Amino acid sequence: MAFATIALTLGALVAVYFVRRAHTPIGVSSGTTNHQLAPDFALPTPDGRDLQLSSYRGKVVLLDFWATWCDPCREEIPHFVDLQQKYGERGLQIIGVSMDDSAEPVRPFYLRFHMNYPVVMGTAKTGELYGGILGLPISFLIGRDGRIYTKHIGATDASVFEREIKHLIETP
Amino acid sequence: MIQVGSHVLYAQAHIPGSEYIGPASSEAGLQQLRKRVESLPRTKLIVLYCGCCPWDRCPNVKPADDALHALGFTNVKVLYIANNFGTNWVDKGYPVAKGE
Repeated sequence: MAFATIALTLGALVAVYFVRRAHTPIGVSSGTTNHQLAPDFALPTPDGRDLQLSSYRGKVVLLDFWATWCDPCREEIPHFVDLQQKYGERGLQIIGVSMDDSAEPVRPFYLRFHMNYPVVMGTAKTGELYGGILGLPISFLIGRDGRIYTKHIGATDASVFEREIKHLIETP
Repeated sequence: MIQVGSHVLYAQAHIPGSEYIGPASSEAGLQQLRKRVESLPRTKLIVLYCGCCPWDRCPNVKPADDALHALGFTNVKVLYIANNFGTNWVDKGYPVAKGE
């Protein structure tokens, strides 16, 4: 009887643990807890076409602020290429916002790094829209509802992004 | 005081009174820096900063510091920004100016 009581108690505790874990918000430590709508923008690509962020509503968007001269950014980008390849058909869209002062270095960089997602040329105004991009890299994960769920300042391990992407892909 | 990083970052926020020269990671930026300081007395106090990336990954401050020493400047200081300008300056409430 005592054994059954202990077993039931342990079982209940384990169940509570897993239920709480399933509902633990991701990215709280680096996240925006108020889930504001991602500010919309229309920015040019290096070849002059316009890209509107809101046209990607319904997809999970990883918005990456980067620059060609930024070493930590250069380390992240191959992982982003892999993630886009792996999750693109399931609704992930990565968008790079270059904070280079001109498009000139971006075009050859794009080819050299085999980037498979669109890149746009950011401005100071774009940075201000996103609370100030005052260091690189900074990235935001935006859900299908257009709201920001996490923000990462500085280079972040690819496994963290993958975990968050998978969660958001599965969230309607 | 001279910011030797990105103009897009400078325009969003910079230390009041600091000048923008151009990213010292590029030869064009270094040339601008040399041009700016060429007429200054070599004992002039010059403070450089960037804040684009973590200190040990910054591609700008070391080339700028090296360039000034190569020109004979003896009183060059580099502002230590551990992570980035936003985290280590703006978020701490230090004075900030915006724009060109």
